Amino acid sequence: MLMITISTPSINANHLQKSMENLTSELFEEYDAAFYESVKTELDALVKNPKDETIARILAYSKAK
Amino acid sequence: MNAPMKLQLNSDQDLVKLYLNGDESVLEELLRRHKSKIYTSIYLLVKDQQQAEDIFQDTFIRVINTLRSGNYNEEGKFLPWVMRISHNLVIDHFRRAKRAPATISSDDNDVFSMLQIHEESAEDRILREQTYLDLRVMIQHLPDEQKEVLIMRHYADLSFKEIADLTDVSINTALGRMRYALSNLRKMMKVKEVS
Repeated sequence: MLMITISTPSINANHLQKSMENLTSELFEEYDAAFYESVKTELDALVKNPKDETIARILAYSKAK
Repeated sequence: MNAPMKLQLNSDQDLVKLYLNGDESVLEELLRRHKSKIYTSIYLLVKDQQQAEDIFQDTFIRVINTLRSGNYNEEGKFLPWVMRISHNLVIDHFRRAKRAPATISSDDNDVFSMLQIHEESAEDRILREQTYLDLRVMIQHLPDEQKEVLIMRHYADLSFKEIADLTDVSINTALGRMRYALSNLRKMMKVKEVS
């Protein structure tokens, strides 16, 4: 008599769940990273500098100290 | 500010050592190197130019006093250390003011005055200004902890490890806040596009 063994792969639920989380996380990161790159120029445009008078006061304080 | 060219090749740590040895010109170089990062970070949090100037000045007065008193830990990096001082002063500012940050400051137009404008039509200029204003308002609408991480990462150029240390959270939390900040900005931009 010929015996045929049929096996069903056991699914490790935790492993699958972890893989899904990692996949979601990776996609999320890539998506956000791409978005971040796209708005960097606009973010850079908001850069400001202190007034020259403020810098001068700091330097004067240092010299007097 | 014209710090000597030779100083521009030195690391922050080297400059601090030179400063402690009495070379005053070194402070100019440190300020030239980091003023935008520190000031923009302060300004975007307090949203008022005069208050930002005051906090920036107080930050460097503390830096000078600490350096001169010999209490500076040379093992730490200079910029994250200065950012920690300014961050604490910003927190003090809000504690003193006992108010939630306002959405729009009195000097919004100053953002645009520094931008270089070259052969631009009035229509383009209005559009560009509106875009920058929109983005700034969107940043101000982010929850404080997300706004803080975005500003420290982008404007102060701090690593997530440095941000985590500065804000007393784990690196994962700092990273998560950055992701939420970007995600929220993206949502706000979509809403803006639809409307």
